[in-house]
Amino acid sequence: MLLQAVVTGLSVGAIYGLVAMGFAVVFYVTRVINFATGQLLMVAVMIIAGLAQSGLSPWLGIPLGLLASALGAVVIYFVAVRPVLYFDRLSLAWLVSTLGMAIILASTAALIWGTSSLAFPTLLNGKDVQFLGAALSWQQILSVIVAVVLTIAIEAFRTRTLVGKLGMAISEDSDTASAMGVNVTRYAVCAFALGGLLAGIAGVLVGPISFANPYLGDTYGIYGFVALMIGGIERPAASMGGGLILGVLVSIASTYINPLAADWFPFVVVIAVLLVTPNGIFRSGALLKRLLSTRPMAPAAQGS
Amino acid sequence: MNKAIFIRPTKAIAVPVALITLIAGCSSGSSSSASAGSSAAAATSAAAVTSGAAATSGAAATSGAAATSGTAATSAAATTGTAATAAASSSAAAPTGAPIVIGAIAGTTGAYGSTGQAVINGTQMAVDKVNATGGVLGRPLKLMWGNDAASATTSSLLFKKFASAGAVAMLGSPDTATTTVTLANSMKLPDLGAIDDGGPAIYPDGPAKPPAPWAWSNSLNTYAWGQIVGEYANKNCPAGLAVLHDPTFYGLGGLAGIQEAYKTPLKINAAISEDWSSGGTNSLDSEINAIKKSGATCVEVWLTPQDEAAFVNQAHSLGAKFTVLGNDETSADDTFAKLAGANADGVLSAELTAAYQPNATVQAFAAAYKTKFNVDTTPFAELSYDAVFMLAQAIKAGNSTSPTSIQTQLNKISNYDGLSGSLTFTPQQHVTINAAQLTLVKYDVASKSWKPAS
Amino acid sequence: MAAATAVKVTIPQQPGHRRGRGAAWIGALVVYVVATLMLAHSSNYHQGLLLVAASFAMLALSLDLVAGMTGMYSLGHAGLFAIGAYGTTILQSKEGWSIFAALPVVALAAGLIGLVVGTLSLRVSGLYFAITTLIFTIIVNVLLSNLTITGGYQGLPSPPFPEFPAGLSSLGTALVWAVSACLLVTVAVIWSIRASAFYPVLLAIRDSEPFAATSGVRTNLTRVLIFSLSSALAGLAGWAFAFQGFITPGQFDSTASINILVMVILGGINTRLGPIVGAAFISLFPVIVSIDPLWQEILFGAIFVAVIVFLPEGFIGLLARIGRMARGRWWPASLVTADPGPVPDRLAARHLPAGERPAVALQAQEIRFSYGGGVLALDGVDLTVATGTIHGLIGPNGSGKSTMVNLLSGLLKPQSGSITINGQRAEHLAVWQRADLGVMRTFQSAVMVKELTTRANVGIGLYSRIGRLGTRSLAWPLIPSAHRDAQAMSATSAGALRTVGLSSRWQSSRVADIPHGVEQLTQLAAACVSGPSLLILDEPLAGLSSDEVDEVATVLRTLRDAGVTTIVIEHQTRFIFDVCDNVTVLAAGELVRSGTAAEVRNDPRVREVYLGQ
Repeated sequence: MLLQAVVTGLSVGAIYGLVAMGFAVVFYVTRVINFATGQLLMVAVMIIAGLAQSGLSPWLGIPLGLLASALGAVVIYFVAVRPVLYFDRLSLAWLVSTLGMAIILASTAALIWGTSSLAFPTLLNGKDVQFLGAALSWQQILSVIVAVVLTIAIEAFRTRTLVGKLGMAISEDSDTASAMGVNVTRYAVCAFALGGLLAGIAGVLVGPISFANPYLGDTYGIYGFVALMIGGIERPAASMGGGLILGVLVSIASTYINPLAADWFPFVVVIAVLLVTPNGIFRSGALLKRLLSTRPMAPAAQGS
Repeated sequence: MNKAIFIRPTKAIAVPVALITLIAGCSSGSSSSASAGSSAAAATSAAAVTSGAAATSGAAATSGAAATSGTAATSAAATTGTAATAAASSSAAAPTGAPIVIGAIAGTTGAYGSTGQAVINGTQMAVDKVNATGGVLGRPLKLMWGNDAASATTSSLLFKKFASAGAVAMLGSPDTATTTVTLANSMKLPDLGAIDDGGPAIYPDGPAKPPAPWAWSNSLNTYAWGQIVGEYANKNCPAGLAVLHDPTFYGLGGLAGIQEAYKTPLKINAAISEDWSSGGTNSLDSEINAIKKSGATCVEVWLTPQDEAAFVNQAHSLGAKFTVLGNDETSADDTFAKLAGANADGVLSAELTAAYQPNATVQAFAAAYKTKFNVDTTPFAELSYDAVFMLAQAIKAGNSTSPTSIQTQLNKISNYDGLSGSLTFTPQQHVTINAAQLTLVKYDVASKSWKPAS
Repeated sequence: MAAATAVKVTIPQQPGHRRGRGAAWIGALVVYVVATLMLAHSSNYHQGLLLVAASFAMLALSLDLVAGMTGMYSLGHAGLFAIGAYGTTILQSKEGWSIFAALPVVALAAGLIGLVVGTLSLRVSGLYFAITTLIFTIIVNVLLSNLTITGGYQGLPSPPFPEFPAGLSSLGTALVWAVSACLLVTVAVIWSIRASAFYPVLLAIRDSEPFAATSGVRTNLTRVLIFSLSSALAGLAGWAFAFQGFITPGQFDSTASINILVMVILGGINTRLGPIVGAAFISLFPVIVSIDPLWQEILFGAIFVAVIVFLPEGFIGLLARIGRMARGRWWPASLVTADPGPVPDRLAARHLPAGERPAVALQAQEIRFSYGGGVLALDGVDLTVATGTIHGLIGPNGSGKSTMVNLLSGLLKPQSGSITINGQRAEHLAVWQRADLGVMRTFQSAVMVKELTTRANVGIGLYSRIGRLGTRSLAWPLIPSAHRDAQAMSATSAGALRTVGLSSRWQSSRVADIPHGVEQLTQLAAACVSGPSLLILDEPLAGLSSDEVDEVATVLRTLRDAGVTTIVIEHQTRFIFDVCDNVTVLAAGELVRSGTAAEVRNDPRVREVYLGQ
């Protein structure tokens, strides 16, 4: 029962976590929260579903959908974010302009495909597997695998490569970075594209379960945002952790309390934890970093 | 009259208070919106949409003139608007005289926007038809409509907007029924048509107590659907019934109907909060596993078509074999069947007999609807169409557009032969659809259609 | 008494000017009342628009108080709004209360809940403040959706609003008057705070908490109280919104909370009219604009983007731009403010008579401190500063100088050791309490509020000398003593700027527009303005020209002659040995040498560790 709740929660949380990472990689480089991230998930979902409806194989549709999400994110950067950063890097004006893009994306999709949900290619959904008495579909297992692989890849890229480290430098002081000859715009474009791509991947994973609706971005945008808040915004991997925690808490609440408890139980837990560790769940303990760290820990580090 | 007093002095004192200016601005907008609304109502195809938008910007530009010259100007604009639509469908004598304004409120955007669109489309068809055949009391009907986007705030403002523009009755809303019914009662203005999915909004104190005095629902009645599936479960579910239901009136009405017919304790009775506005589905894995454990073989899924489809798909993935029972939305359009695909096979639901076995009138309506809007008709379009005609009949019978006269006459309509069936209102009965008008159906994936279940 | 006369003498034109402004405000009030009267006779629809727009305007104004002015991006305001709306409806329909009795109760309840939420949320900062307050909204929403008394997901019908008695029926709809009055009260409170001398203090808390704290502001308490006030106003907005027809949980969800923030930013954050304009636009656009709904939504989103891209300061940025252009063209003179006159006596530097002062102004003993429990940044350091001297604190980078001054000013607390200031034990005192002891300091980095003038920034330094700024800010324009204090603060700040050698042309410049050197001198003025007994300067010379360095030296000597004790951290050793009476040298968290300037300069160990010889 508990195992079932946890594995189900992890599979849902992986989706939230991917959306949260979509938020986080953008924030990491540009200090902007792209509130249209949920809608970028929707863009991939709608394009794949729309193409499948007109007979295209999903294996062709998926790359096109992911491409559309990434391109959409770049468009958002140039239209709604760059002019704002140019004016004042620290203002919150991007909150409004990215929300505006979110509204435009959802309503445009509704104009094109109508407001009702479309069917989404089944992919691996519908094939179940028993795992120590817990039942899961292959699609859910795929979600967890993809989430773990992407998290490790992004963390390794961020901390091990020069380009990733430069991204960190830009986030801390873009003026100095740009004075040192770093092309800040190029980094920002890449961050937005990667953020869109992550949201699109989340869309491909969740599409067979949630179907394709133009307004889907609202739901996953909010969940991704909450996951981001739980995990902490400073590190992409931590935001994935936030997603997994949220997913598991939702699943445990609906299994052990009642389905409506999924609406409040995770938040009560989160607020309790935040009040104990005011700097975010993964900030003080750096728990996830230890869990996900690819290098063996030095004994000295363990001691401290 | 109040409005005319209001507009001029506000313009005279000019700009100092920004808020006031804004409100003055909207007062001139409201008189033009009627024509914009009705021309945009037809907008489903992209081409129609752009023309609708163009019409509005034109109207907005001239709205200042319309507002100052008052009622005469507005009525003239409305008459030409309706005459144009009437000419398109028929050549009967165009009604003259001041138009009778009716308001319609429905959520036409959001994941359930298709329901609201059907409501507006059906209403528009009926208004066109009435105007093409001489109007009501020799006067044309004029439709003002708005999208409440399922927001109680917007719904309330739209209700007041249409009422202030002289609407004699309101239609809807399928999304914010509690708001429209409350305002109808407090402003003593009839509200009918697609009001929620019947049931609790009309009978807040239960079906045995008096209904809301100013609201009459033509809408699909969750209570009646609940009774039908409850009766089925009584006979066919010896291992017990589990119910997953939406926590709003939609699900609660269905649950009440089920428990009316199915007296055995439910194996599982769980409320699931749903995402109506974004169409996101819940992960129902925990519930599926709980139902498997409970031993129940029948599951009543009183959720949105999306969630219901997600349920059957996920149950299939997890190897659960349930007899799944649906609700009034399951077979109302093809959303559920499309999303669930092969897993929809064998799902039971109930349908309006009138829609399921259409007579010539219904078939003709369906064809005209398809031609006009390029989508298939749904029960929501048909019942909204009926509501306009029942309203017209009540106005004719009382020879008056006063709200009290309409109230009295609506309560006397008996066996109106509408698209959604034979419809009756009495002072106690304010809901047209009952269990006797429904047929139990079962989805057959081979023919991709709903077949009689028994 | 003397101060009051001084003020009157120096500003002869002021009363007439003020009378003119007062007449303008009364005129605006008359227009407001007339507009209310007309709306009270208008259609149900227009009254509905007013009710919704005004409720959201109040809500947005209350959010701007915390987000715009104090830097707390609350996403809890939809929940607080709900408490007002649901509280009123439930008290009326279930408990039979009069709605007028419910008004103070729901406002107070929202204020108290805000106090608790604020206290808990302020344990975390920045983005986590946003999440804890967002979770508050989510939890309120879940309660509203699931409790029976709130009507569950369906919600509750609005309570009826009583009409005027027959004699007053010519006034029209009573509800319009009530809502109009609520909006007026909210606007009055918020605008009063904006006009008060407390406003710069709030901005300092927002932008530069250490500056505010060392000026004597209890920053956390102020934040919590401001959040509580904002919550009460949000509750008041909820009271008005309760009469809008029907209330459902969906109107008070997390999206609604984000929407309120959007209203504030779109209209213009931290402006008088911005939140009102933004609220009216967002709440009324969907009802007023009748085009095809999907195109309407696209237009709505496009306006968001366009406004922010072309007017990053929001709708009101356009008005402000036009206003600045108009002022520049027609009233250029108003940019140059008249000199506010000499420093009033009661704000002049206060010093105990020489005989009553302890000979040692500051004594720190055995100070130990480490960041996060790691390596000791200070290891048993002693520091003794004699009253009325200039004491230099020098050492290489990482020697612990800045840590030391942060410990002395209270921004950090030592792990062990004692600090005595003017004879009082101080190591456990909070920052603001040390300001009351007469300790003032400057910072290496730029800490001034960029959007305020230098004079307004210096005025923040007077916080500890002016009583009850926060309370009086709620009705600032109506309080005679507030006018006197504002005038006195202005004159004293101007005097302090003159003292540090800044000509009067800088006094009305915004800090954002001035060179770094001038900003450093402004900091010095802000630290001196309250007449401190112990002044701590952290690298005051950074970015100064040689003329300005000489100016600072003169200022320090003048202050010393007036009896002020000064501690200076500085890298320019020539300045230190030239100006300071005594010098203490730190290296790697330990004391190297303390003594007179001459002694220290000639100590071979000092030359070794610090002068690199």
